Amino acid sequence: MTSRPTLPPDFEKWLADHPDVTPDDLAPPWRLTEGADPLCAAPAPDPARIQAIQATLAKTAANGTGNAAPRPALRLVKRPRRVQWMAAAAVVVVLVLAGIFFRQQPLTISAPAGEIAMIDLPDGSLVELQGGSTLTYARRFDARTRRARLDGEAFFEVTKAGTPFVIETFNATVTVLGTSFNVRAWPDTPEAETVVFVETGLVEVTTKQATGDAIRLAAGEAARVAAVDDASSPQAAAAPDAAYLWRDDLFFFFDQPLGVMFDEIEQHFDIEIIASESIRSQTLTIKTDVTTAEALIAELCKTPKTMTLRYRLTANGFEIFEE
Amino acid sequence: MKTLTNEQFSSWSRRLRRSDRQAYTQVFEATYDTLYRYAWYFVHDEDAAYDVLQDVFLKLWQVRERVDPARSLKALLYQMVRNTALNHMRHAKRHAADALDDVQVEPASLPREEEDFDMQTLETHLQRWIDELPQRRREAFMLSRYQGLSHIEIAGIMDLAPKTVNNHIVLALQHLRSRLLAHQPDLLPS
Repeated sequence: MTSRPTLPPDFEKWLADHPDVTPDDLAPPWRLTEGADPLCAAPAPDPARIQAIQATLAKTAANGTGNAAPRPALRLVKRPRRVQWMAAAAVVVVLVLAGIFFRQQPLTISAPAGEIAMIDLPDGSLVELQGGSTLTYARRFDARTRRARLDGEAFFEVTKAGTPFVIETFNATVTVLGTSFNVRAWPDTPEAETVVFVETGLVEVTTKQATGDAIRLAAGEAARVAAVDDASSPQAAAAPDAAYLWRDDLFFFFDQPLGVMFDEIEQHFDIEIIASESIRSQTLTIKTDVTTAEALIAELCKTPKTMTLRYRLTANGFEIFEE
Repeated sequence: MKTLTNEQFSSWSRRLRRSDRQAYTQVFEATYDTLYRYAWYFVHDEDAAYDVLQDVFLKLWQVRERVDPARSLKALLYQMVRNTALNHMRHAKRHAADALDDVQVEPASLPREEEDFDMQTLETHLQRWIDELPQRRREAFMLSRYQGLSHIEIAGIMDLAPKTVNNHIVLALQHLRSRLLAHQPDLLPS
């Protein structure tokens, strides 16, 4: 089984974003667990059974082309859904909710300023609570009743449980089935609004009074509920400038430097893109359906703004240069 | 799958798209052990694990022309095993099928607590502490630590946001660190 004795580069960005945690905290448990692979506890496969399977596979591959009618339900190349949130750094302060909303004594968890609190909810959902924020939920929180109140900002990864997961903010209600999304709702700030940003899945947002229409958000979409006009429906918000989507083969960047796009393509396809700083600093808005790295880069070189760019394949990826 | 490089998987991926049967056989030979164990990790039943392994490879041949060469074949195999195993478990349940996440993945047998600490015992303790992790966290940690998969690949395999994968793995390490602090603090830098 593959094993890496040092922290892989995946952690670098996370550590940069969370200065309260140092590599020294994480490296020793990483290193010490070298021999503790849970898969080693699994039984070794029996050679006779494996041979039987190989025989079956050989027979299948031998029978003509073995091309069954395509099954549309099979999504082999499903891409990770991902949205980058480059909005301004999280702001400030929060209220503690009075326990009126819940029949029992609610649980209240607050994240200290400048830190992030991770919360495992009883239904298996995971909440990343930003500094200065508070999450409150009933002790009886379970798969049948999933309600919580948020003041501040948090990123939610909600497990699918058949019942909606409901988040109340000071002026809006967010309803989800199983998804990952970000909610910003700082009541006591000048901007005083709730902003919901969906990374995966489907989310429904209404005003707290539930007057006006609900708005449904899919991956990469956002909605804004302003404090002032309670009677109106939530407004569909433009995705933050730096949003991009990997969703059903859709690649979308809004007015971003090429360098950012190259970084993202490099990471997503595990390749290397060589390009000068002046090329990387050019900005572009692009939306395209592509399935491969090469097709994507070809698209990037085809826009009116980038017409003079050309690309060529390298051993590890691509090089982009001015014609 | 320890000695297998990305280049090797890329090569197999391209060859599979061209219906290269030798590549198909080679992929199976090189990966069946790990993938069988990964299937067993979910289903905890040897017969079921063989079924999953076979189903995955039958499906792989069926869709070979549609395998995306730009995407990791290695990650795809894990994803297919995972999905097939979870489907298997869902259909095997007698009562009404619940959401996928309700399916419990039992950890391997838990070793007894011991007083004396040496490296072998430390490993036993670490295994137990890893088993203490919530199900998804344990899986994310395992895929990262022992299967050499990137966080993005794991996000694709487990159908989570990459950010969540990061969080899970860091939380796993923090859990292990706090256990180490309580039992064997001199193993950690002061």
